[in-house]
Amino acid sequence: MFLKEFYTYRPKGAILLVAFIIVFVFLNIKWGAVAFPINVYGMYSGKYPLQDTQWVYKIKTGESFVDFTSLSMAERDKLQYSLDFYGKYKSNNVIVFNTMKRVLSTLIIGKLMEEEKYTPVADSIQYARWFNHLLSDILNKEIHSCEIYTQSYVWQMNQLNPVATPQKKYQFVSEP
Amino acid sequence: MLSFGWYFYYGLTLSKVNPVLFVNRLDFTRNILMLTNLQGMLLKYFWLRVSFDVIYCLLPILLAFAVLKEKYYTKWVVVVTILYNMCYGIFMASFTYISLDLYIAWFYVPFVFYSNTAKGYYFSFHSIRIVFLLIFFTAGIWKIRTGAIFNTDQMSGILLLQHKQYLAGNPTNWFSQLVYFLVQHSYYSYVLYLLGTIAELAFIIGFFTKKYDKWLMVAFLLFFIADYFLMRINYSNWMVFAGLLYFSQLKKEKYEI
Repeated sequence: MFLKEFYTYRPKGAILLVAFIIVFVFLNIKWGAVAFPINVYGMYSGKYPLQDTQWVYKIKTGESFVDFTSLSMAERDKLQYSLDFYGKYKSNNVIVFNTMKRVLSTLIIGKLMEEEKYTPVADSIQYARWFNHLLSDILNKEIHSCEIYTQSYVWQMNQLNPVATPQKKYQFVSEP
Repeated sequence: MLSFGWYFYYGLTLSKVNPVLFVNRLDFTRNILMLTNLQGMLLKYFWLRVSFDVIYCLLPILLAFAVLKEKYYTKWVVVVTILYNMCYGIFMASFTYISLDLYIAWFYVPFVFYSNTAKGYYFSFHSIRIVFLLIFFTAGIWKIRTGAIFNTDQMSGILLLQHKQYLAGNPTNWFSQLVYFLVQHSYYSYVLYLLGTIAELAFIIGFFTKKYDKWLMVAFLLFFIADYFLMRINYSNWMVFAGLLYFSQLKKEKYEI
């Protein structure tokens, strides 16, 4: 057996491997915070009901909307997730900071955690410039202004149907 | 290098992303690493982001050189590569949409070369092989634990979530039609999900025997192909894991065991 042979060759190495497996299994059972490289590798194990409302971004530059289907998978993901991140990063980072600080306070580490390092805020002008630059790169043309809308969709009658009117979420304007 | 090339081409490196914000996660390692405020410095200094990319690209080359030439410092290159790849993965996953999971291969695999004896190589290799098997097997277990595997609409829901931008943008092109077909015919998509889960659970076989590793490798390659073409997720970073199954059949005697 591999572990027995390993133990004979190098006991510390074998114990380390077994300990790693135990921690891996333990963190998987707990399913809360993780410690890289030990992670929960769920790979779409959550539940994804077909009836969930799907939120889709629509990006308007000038008079037209960006055609997401003309983009590569990486470009599409970059645009979509950048907007997702922008919408949630502030609140997410505060929640994570408070949780981790509380948990790590039992060790000295928690006391060393400074809020400004964990929750910096990008100013909106800076982000607008960054996003317009990303969009310019992807669409291969100069863009200094864009509007972001979200549109909800639901799966009905065997197809994805828009519901309600698109709502304007952001407007990014940057200097030429 | 090929994998890095893909990321570089699509601007998914630190220096090309030029981030202005990051998203933190409930991860002890990440939060401890952030005590250094490297995330703040990476946001601020372009030269640091370029340096991070260059080192990330050069370390595997240095490692290959050290291993092939049997250099005395190989062990140190391995340790540095592992720790550095961990940092790089953590920050890339904080600044971009790329999941940290995608960087684990370049964290684990260098460990294979840690030992400078044939026997040590054998045990390092198989320890990492076990970790790889564990990752896949627990992914299968999770699908049972959450009940996802018992939901016949599961894969349809996943496809809808994954490709909503695409379906909303152009529901008539061939890829949209393919996704639509699978979402509309839940049983076909569910069979794909079920087969994927069975394949993940089958990785438990690898704990007891290496005889079927080639078949596990085929399952792994199919997972990679399906993820790329159907889910549009690039797992190319994980391709190096395939080597753990491909080379596992080497005879023990060769390693003096």
